[in-house]
Amino acid sequence: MQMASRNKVIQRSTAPPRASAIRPGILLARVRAGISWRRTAERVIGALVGFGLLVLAWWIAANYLGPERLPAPNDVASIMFRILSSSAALQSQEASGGIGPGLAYSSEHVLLGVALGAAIGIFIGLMIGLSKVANEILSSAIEMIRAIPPLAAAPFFLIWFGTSGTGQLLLIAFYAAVMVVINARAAVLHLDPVHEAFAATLGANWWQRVRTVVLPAFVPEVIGGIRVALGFSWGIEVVAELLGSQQGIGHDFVLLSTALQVDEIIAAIIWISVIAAVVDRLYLVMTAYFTRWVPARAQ
Amino acid sequence: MTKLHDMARDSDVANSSSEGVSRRDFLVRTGQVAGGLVAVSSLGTLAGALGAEDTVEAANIPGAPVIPRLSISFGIGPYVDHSYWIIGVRKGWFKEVGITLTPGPAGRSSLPDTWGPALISHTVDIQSASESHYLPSMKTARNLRQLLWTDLFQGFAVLVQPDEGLKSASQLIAQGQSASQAVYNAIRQLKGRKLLFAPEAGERSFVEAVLKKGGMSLKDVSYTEIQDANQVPLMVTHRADAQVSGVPIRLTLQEKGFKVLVSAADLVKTAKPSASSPELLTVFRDGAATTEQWYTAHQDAALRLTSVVFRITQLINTNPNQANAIQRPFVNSIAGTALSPKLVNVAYNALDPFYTYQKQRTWYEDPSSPFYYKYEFGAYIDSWVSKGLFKKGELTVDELALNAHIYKELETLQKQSASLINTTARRIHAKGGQHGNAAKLLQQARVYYSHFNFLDAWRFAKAASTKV
Amino acid sequence: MILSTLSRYRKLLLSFAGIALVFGLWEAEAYWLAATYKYGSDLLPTIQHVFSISLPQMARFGSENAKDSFLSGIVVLLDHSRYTVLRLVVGTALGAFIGIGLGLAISINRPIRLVLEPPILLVRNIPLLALIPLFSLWFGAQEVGKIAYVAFAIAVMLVINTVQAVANVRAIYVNYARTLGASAPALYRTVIIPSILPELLAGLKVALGVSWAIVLAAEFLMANEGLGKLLILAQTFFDVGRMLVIVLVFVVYSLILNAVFDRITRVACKWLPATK
Repeated sequence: MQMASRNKVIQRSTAPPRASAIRPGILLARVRAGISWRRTAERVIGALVGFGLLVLAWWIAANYLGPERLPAPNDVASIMFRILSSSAALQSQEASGGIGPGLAYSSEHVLLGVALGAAIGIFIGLMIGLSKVANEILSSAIEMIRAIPPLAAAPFFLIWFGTSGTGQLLLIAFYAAVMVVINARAAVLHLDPVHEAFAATLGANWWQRVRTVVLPAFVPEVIGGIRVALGFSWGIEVVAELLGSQQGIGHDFVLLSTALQVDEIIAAIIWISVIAAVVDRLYLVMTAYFTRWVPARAQ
Repeated sequence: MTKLHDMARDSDVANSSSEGVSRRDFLVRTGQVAGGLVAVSSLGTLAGALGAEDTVEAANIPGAPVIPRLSISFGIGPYVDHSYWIIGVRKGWFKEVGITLTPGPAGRSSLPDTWGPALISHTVDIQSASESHYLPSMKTARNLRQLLWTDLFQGFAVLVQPDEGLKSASQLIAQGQSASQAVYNAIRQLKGRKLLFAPEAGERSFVEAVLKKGGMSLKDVSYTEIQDANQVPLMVTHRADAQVSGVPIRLTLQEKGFKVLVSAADLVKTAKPSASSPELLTVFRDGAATTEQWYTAHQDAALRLTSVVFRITQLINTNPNQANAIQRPFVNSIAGTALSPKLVNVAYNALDPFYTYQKQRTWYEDPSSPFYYKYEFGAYIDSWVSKGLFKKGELTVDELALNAHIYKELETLQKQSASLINTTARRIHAKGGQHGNAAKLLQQARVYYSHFNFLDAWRFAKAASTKV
Repeated sequence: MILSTLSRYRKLLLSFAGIALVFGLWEAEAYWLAATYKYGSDLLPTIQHVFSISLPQMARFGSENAKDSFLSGIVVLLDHSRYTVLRLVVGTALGAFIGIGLGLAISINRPIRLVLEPPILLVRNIPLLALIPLFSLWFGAQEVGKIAYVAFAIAVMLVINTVQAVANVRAIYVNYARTLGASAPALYRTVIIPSILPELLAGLKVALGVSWAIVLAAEFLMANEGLGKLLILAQTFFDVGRMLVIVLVFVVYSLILNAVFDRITRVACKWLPATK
């Protein structure tokens, strides 16, 4: 019994949910089986305990550091909804009322930027995958460019694009593309040669091999790469907004830091993290469909 | 041996024409001093530390009051108006009053946006700063205080593209307009144009004050808030018409030919003695900030620290080349710049003139001067109250302005020690001018007096008077 | 697509071609900017400028009155590098230890997983740059703060990576071992840990790549020394040449670290069945 549950632990973790889980009929079947309620309850309790521990650690630290350096959880909780529409620190610096508009602006830019970056990344990734020469040339170039910290690269986007939103969007797209390319390249490199060889033996020409062997291997990794890019992009958006953006959560962070409004900074951080986590989950659910055929690793 | 070489060093220090002591120098002077140790040379001598490690024992005089040693965790900045502390260190003036700035040589250098957090997190006990830097952060941290003021920063300016035909205030004055007309008309040209400034408390206040002088507000210009450094590519690629930044970027841009439209120096000339005079928000005074806790625990040290600052400002005013020679290499090494002596002098004279002890009297004693301390503090506090960051009365000048309190304390001590020195001198003379401990103590008191260290001047005079 | 058949010689040549491409674009852009804008040459200095002027100028950060020279510049860079590299190594090691440890704990133990996974999934999305003002309030200028910052960022990345790696272990290996009677500890020792090693090392490599940017951000925390501090100062005075010098140093270190890491990975994974 113990072994079986451990097996489940290893298997289930964070693999994308099977597409079948989305269809309502299955849900009903699981309900009938009676397991799902217990599992759901376990997850809810687990989450509550987990967040509870986090809040406890926060509360202890707040007591130690004092309210000017770390406000207590309840102080931040009480302003969580208020700051969406009104923040004295922001208003006194000629910004919008609260962080609500900034959250919307930044989320929009992250999604657009990652979409753009993913498109570019997939294109370059394919090029790398299909041509050995391209792979060798671009690999080292990409390794070099990857090592450039976004903070250092930002001024160059200013030179080329000024303070328009274009520059900021491209900064995100740039780093997103880099991450997707790396994943795409890894996908192609790690493809077991036996698959291609086998296909060739069976008479597939180049295009057929690409369509039936390379691309399908490519897709899940790229999807994973986009997910990673999404995760990082929230941080890069904050950097991008240093390029003279007049809105956005990064811009709000700068103003809040000038006024050293710690409670509002923490509340804003929580908001953006929640939004990012929700976007991440949605992304997983939406892409589960495309990875449903992936051979059973976790099953 | 310790005694001798401390004496040698200090005799160099007391002799203000020296440049700081090289090893060879002190060995030479050790020989010179060893010959005559009597304590009545014109500026006095200080013997090395005797006895307790945690005090600076002034002279080899039994019964002398002790000056406790204190280590201050200090913060400075890579700018001329935030690195002058090195002068006090290299001249040994801090050492004379028992103060060591850590980490050496003159504290930790960092950029303005970290100064408020540095104080709040107790990373530093004292930070070279102006209240305009950290005032907004007092919404959260109410224990910050301005400890002293050193110079008047009037280095902000609006720079514009040289090829857009905008006329500067100086040009308009030359054409015959009056000062206030010229300023108004010059600023008016910014209407509808693209303006850049950094989201820093000081710059924002300057921009708003400037626009107000032109009868405008931020709504009348197309502005972008962006860090100083990032303004350079925007100006060079002609994506903006005007900008405001701190001195480093201002100098960088001026070198590239961007011209000054109107500067803080122009504006503050027309400031009125009132907290509602908008020109006051174009300037601010640099000095040092600390927390209430530190001040309460170290009131004597605060007086001594201030005395060293006054020696520094005196040197900058009376012998700028010497000050330059000490400060310039230091600031260049912490900022990586290559400021020429000429540029440092421009900073001393025009960008942020340093005020001596005597000149600061108007700051603290003269309500008819626009520079009376209450007006600047008041103006800055009010500007944030009017924007809704603070409630009226939440923050008061008296609470914040420890510097006024300290200056007044020093003045009182000055009067007291002067009179005590005089009476004690008379009493000693009456007793035949004995060369005893009393005379030595009194001489030491005179030395401290001349060093603006009125606290120890008084203490030593008192000790002398009890020994007569 | 059989890349392994490329001769090493050709591979190296093409790598250089890639690097040359990047430098070529740089020079082209520098010349274009200089031609298009007055003072455009200050926006992006040429490669010659960076090596012959900006690099020697780094000597100024050394001692007072130092003369600009190539050698002193390098010495200053090396001197400041040790602070940055130390923060990077200690922070990354700590982060890796915590991250992988937590990741394994989450994989092994169901209750731990149910409790720890939700907060971690939330915390991983915190924008790192927004944490800087908070860390400077909490830790001031202490080294602990900078190392904690790096460790936090790395740990978060590696927890996720470890959990995914364990999830990706081929079920057939696990089941086979079970069939042969492996107990849970033995299962971990002989099957799970060895199988996740490649993916773990790949994740660690990615984390190391990002860690340079993170250490740079950490040096905003009132660092008195360090490459990040020099970069911040260069930025304050808008000296792009110097910014590029520091960026190049970062790139060089990054490439070296990558190469070392690749070697370690190859040695550690020698025993893996040939998928590549």
